[in-house]
Amino acid sequence: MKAMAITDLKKIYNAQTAALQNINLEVSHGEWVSILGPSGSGKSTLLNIIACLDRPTSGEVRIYDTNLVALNPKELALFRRENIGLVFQQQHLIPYLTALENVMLAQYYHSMVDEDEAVAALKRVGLGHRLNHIPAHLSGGEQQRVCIARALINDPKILLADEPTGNLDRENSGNVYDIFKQLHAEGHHTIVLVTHDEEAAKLGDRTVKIVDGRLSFDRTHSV
Amino acid sequence: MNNRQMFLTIVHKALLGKKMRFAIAVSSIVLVAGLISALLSVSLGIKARFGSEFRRFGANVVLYPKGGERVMNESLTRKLSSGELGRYLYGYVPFLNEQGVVNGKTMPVIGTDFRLARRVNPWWKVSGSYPDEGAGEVLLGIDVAERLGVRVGDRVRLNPNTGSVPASSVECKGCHSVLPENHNRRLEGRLAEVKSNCMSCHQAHSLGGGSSVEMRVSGILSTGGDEDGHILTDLSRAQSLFNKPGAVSQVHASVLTGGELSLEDISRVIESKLGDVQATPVSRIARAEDNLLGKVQLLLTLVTLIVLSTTGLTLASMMTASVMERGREIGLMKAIGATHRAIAILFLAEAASMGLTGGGIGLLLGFLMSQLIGESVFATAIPTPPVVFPLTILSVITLAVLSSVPSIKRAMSIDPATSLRGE
Ligand SMILES: Nc1ncnc2c1ncn2[C@@H]1O[C@H](COP(=O)(O)OP(=O)(O)OP(=O)(O)O)[C@@H](O)[C@H]1O
Ligand SMILES: [Mg+2]
Repeated sequence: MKAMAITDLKKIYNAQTAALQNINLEVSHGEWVSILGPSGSGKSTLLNIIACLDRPTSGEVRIYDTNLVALNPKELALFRRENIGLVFQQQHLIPYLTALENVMLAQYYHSMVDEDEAVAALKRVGLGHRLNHIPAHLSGGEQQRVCIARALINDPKILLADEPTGNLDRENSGNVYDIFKQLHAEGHHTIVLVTHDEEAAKLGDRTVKIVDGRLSFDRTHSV
Repeated sequence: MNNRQMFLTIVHKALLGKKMRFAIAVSSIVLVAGLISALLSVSLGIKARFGSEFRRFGANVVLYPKGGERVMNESLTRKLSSGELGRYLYGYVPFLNEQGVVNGKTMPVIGTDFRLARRVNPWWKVSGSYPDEGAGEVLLGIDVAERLGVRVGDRVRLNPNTGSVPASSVECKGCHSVLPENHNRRLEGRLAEVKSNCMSCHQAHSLGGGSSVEMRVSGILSTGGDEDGHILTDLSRAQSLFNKPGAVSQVHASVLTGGELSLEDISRVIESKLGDVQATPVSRIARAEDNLLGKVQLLLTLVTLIVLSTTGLTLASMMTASVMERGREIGLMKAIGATHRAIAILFLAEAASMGLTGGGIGLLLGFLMSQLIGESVFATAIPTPPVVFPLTILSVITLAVLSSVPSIKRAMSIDPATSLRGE
C-alpha cells in the first residue's frame, strides 16, 4: 500500500526563496524514510507539508489516497489529528502539565482521554516511573520520549520526526532511536525521519537527500 | 479522568502556572466587582428600603382628619381593610401623635398598633422586642434612648402633660405659676415624682403633671426616620394616657400600585369611602435623601465605569501578552489536534475563572463597602438584595470574557508550524 505520493511539489515562501522544487517521492506503508540534507535545504518545509502544518505552492501530496491540497484548513487539522504523529527537535511539552497529562492532552484533543492507555504509552518509552513529573523535572531525553509517546498515543499511520535527537546527547539519542527501531519492526507506522546524522539515517529502509530544495539522491539501503 | 476533568485540569494548571499574573488579573477584577456590587446594593437596597422601587414597602398615602381637626375616629380605619379598599391596600397603620414628658424631656409620644406597623414598615429594626399588647411597655426611638441613656429592660416615666409650659420649666398645679428653670433643673429626671413645695404658693406635692406612669422599655427602634426621635406605645394605652379614647391623628396606608388606578386615584377612592379624611399621596424618600442617593449613585456609576474600562483594557492587554508568551504552547496544542474552537474555549474558560474568582472576592468587598456607605451616608444598614450576587458575578465574568476576545483572536491566528520552528 502506498502511504505517500508526492508529485512535482513546489514551495516558494517569497520571490527570493524557493524552499522546495520538483520534489517527487513515494513512500510505502510501513517504510522508514530518512531525509538528509544541509541546513536550509528544505527538509523541515517538506515535513511540515506532509504534516498538514503547511501548504505547497504547487504540486500534489497524497497521503493514503487523500489529496492534501484539496483540503481546507479545518480538514487539514482533522486529517493531521487522525493520521499523523509529530516529534520535533525541541521537546515541545506543555510546561505546567505532567508527563502523563501531556500525553493525555493529545487524547483529549483527538477524542477521549484514557489514562490507562497513556500510562502504557509512557511505559513503552521507558517512563513508567516518571508519569507525574512536569517537563522541567525530566531530562531532555526523557522529555523527548514523552513527545514520542504523545505522538503515538492516537495510533497515527504516519510518524514524522524532525531531528528528534538534535538536542540530545549520544546516549539519549540511542534511546530514542531504539524506540524508532522497535516501532519500525512492528510495522504499523510509516516513519519519516529528518536528521543530520548519517548513521541514524541508515537505520531506515531508505535515505533521501535534499540539497537546495531538490532531491539529490534517493537510495534504498541494502540489508 | 474524563475529558471534562482533563479540561478543568488544563484551565486550573494554566492559571496557577502563572500565579503572579493570575493574582494581578484577579485583584483588578475584585475591584470592579466590589464597585459594581456596592453600586447595585446602594441603588437597589436603598430604594427597596425606602419603598420607591417596591411600593408595597412603606406607606405611600397618609390619611389626615378633614378640615383642620387634630384627630379622627379610629373606627374609620376599619373600612380600610374591608371591601373594595382591601384590594388596594397592602396594609395601614394608625398613629396618635402627642407630646409628653419622658424622664423629664419633652418629646413626641406616639401610639400605634405595632402589628400593623410592622407590616407597613418591614424595615423597622428593633433590638429587644416589640411591646406586648396591654403590658404597659414602650419602644424608644434610638435617638431618644441615647439621649436618655436608657436601655432595653429599663423603666421610663412618661408624663402625658407637658402643660402650657416649655419643656424646661414646670407649672405648679395649685397656683398655676410657672416655676423658674433652675428650680426645674434641680428636679429634672424625677419631675413627676417630686413632691417638694411650690416656690410661690408653698403647697406640697404641687409640681408636675399628675397622672404619670412608669413603663418598661421593651425595645429600641431604629428606622432611619423620624421615629428614631419618638417614644412609641400601644395605641389604646396612648389613647387612655392622653385621654383621647378612639382617636387617631393620622393613618399611614401602603397602597398597592401598578394596577389600573394611580396612587392619586386610589387616594380619592379612600376619601370617598371614608368620608371625613383627607388622603395625601407621599413619597417615602424625602427629597434630600433622593438627591443624596442620586449623587452617591452617580459617583459610584462614574467610578465603576472608569474602573470597568481601565480594567477591561488592562485585562485585554494582559491576556494578549499571555497568549503571545504562550505562542508555542498554543501552536503545540493545534499541532496535536486542538481546533480553533477548542483553543477559544480554553482561553474563555481561563477568563471566566478569573472573573468568577475575582467576582467572589469582590462581592465580599462590595458588601462591606455598601454597609459603610449605608452607615456613613444614610445612617442605616443597607440590605443587600440577593439579585446583587448573580448580577455582579455575571457582569465581571462578562467583562473578563469580553476582554479576552482580542487575545483569543490572536491565539486563533497562531501558526503552529511557525511557532514550533526551532530557534
Ligand atoms: N516561514 C518561512 N518564511 C520564509 N522563509 C522560510 C520560512 N520557513 C523556511 N524558510 C526558508 O526556507 C528554506 C528551507 O527551510 P527549512 O526550515 O525547510 O530548512 P531545513 O532543511 O529544515 O534546515 P535545518 O536543517 O536548519 O532545519 C530556508 O532558506 C528557510 O530560510
Ligand atoms: Mg529543519
